[in-house]
Amino acid sequence: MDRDQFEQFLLAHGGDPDRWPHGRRDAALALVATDDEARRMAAAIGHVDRSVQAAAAVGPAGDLAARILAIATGDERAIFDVTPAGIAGVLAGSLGLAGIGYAVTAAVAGLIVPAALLDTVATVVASGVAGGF
Amino acid sequence: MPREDTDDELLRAAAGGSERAFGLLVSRHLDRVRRVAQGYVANAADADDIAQDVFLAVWRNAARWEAGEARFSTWLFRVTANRCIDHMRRRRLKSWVGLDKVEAVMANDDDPERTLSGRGELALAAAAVKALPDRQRMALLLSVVAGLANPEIAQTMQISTGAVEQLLVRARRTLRDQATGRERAE
Repeated sequence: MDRDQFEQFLLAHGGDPDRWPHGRRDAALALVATDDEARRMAAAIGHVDRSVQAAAAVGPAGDLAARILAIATGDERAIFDVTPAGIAGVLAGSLGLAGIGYAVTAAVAGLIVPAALLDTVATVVASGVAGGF
Repeated sequence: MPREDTDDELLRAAAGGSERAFGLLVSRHLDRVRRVAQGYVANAADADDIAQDVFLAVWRNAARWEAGEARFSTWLFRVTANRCIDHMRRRRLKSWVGLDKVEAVMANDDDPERTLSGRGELALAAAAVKALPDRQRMALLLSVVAGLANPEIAQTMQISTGAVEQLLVRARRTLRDQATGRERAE
């Protein structure tokens, strides 16, 4: 494995040797063991991965797990699905284009509208262009 | 020492109505789902909403999942990715019609820790990740934060492994080059 190949390998698999695919790990480790520039390249990608971890850091979950369990298993709200997406699903049929019109009107008029309705309207429209990756 | 239930076993039990099994799945995976969502939407309250939505979807659809077709984590993060995409679409639409400003006034939920570190490395990292194109950002978060291997990311995003590697190469190269540029500027 030369440096160019190693760079592509690092960019595709990250800087943690424990996560490198077995088929090419030995060649990559051999290069790292003998080449200062390869070690510098690996360190730079390791830094990138740590910065991504930092960007995704979250605080304590608080009672989130308990709330999820309560909604899922007992709370009557689960029947009607009170998540924004769920509310949108229930209301989408009745709001339709009228909901979009209301949202635009509210924006123009600067009215304060319930956050759930904003989500609902946005979801109705967004679902029209929804698709996966 | 008793053997720990696998995710597959817990999901089967949850599909049968076991609250204990579902609770174990939540406690086992909640943190990673929250972190992937946080990395994608860059808002703590929204990330928690997405995580809640993901696990409620798991609970409701547990019976539809079939072991052997995909690992539980692949399915879990596919749901997570789709919820994140839906969220960003709603946010962009609100921004387009100007409703995001109304909502921001109503719910000023910036994470104090992030606000305080606004001049620091964390804010730079978060901004750089947030600025990546959607597919690159999701592939990178599934790799680095969710800890999925590239073929698992391919299954999750329903694209080829080669396409995943292209996304990861571009994403990491962008972040590395930005970091190098910052170092040279200092």
